[in-house]
Amino acid sequence: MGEGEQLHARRRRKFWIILGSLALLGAIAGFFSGFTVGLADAKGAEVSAGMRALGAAGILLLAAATAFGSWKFFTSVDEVEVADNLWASLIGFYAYAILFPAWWLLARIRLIGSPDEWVIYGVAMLTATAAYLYRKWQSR
Amino acid sequence: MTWEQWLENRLRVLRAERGWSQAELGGRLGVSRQAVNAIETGKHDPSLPLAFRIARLFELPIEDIFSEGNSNG
Repeated sequence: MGEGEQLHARRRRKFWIILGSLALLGAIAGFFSGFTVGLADAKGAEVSAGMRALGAAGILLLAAATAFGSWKFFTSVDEVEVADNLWASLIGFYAYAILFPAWWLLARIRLIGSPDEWVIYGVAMLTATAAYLYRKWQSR
Repeated sequence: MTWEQWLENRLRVLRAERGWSQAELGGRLGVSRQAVNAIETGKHDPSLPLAFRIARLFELPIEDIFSEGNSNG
């Protein structure tokens, strides 16, 4: 293996370690926050202050891990990866910018029900993910 | 010519002359193998700093590696 290939392998390892650590942290934080939200849904106002604090800590940890992880990710990847992410984000944003007003207008003329924020969020995320994967497939 | 892609390059030829794989070149440039492939196939025009790194690595002027494309769009 040449000098460049060794550097490349080291770089890939670092990339996957960062991504793996973030996924693990996200899973732990997501579990605790999701568990507490599920408990709150089931028990209503009976959730103890301690459990609420645990849920809030989980959500804060999730937000902090996402912010820190994004910074770490974008400072360790190359310009093609950044370009792929920017394109995916732009296309995801367009999905949102088109879907929400179209749905809202259709709801105003009573053709369909009111916009559902989770459906719109999901469509935007899925569109961005599809755009990202398409670009990755193109430069595989 | 469109804004999207208008550079042609000799990266694949230069790499082959040295017997380097895409991963080898990527490692030497500090980018991924996929990035090298995207540049070689014209799917990504490199930034100026990366173009300078490529030129330095091959010890050639930038214009000997990259040239304007021929499209008339």
